[in-house]
Amino acid sequence: MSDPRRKVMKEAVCLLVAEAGFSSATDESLETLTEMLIGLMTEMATQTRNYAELAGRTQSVVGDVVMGLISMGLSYKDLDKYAFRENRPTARGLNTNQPQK
Amino acid sequence: GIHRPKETLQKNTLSEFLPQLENYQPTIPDAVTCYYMNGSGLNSSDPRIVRLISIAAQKFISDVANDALQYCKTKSSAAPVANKNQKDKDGKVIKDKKYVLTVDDLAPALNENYGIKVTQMKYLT
Repeated sequence: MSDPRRKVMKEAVCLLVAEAGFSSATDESLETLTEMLIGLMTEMATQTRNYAELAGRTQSVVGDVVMGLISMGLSYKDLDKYAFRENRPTARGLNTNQPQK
Repeated sequence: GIHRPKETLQKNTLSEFLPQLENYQPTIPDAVTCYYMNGSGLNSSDPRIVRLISIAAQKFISDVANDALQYCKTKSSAAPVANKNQKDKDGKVIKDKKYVLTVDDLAPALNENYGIKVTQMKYLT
């Protein structure tokens, strides 16, 4: 439980659950969602790497992510609407403004 | 010729969406997403890939939370009125119910919509 990254993930889950309209949540359900979020991310990354390696590349491209999402049964169509939705929560003090290189 | 309106539409939205990701701040910080990506062997220097993955994961959690909220609302409206409805000065019933996310709401939402079975650990409660 001393993993700081897991704490950040749990905070993100809390923000999303609060945004959905819940006023509070049990710790058990939050931990379930946190574990699901971590597992989902790991699986997405594995799928992306697999599709990149299948195409004979070592560096993955955006198309690999999309193929991974499709093979996992997730839709990427509404992602842009979701990403730029109204009042989306941001973890204050955690996001740095520096673009990642 | 072959008429494919849907595919061209999707391609346009994705190609418009990707440049916008360059200056986007997801709820999950990029460094944390990168850590879990590295954990499964994906090392990417492209910030769009990192953000696409984190947005897709966040959307999944948001969808699950929304489904759980629907279950919570249905359950609380079907339950007998245990607490008396508070009325304001005009005699209207105040509708500010507080929804609490529990595994009881989460489990049916996950089971019916995603086929994920959640077993509640009774000994923890």
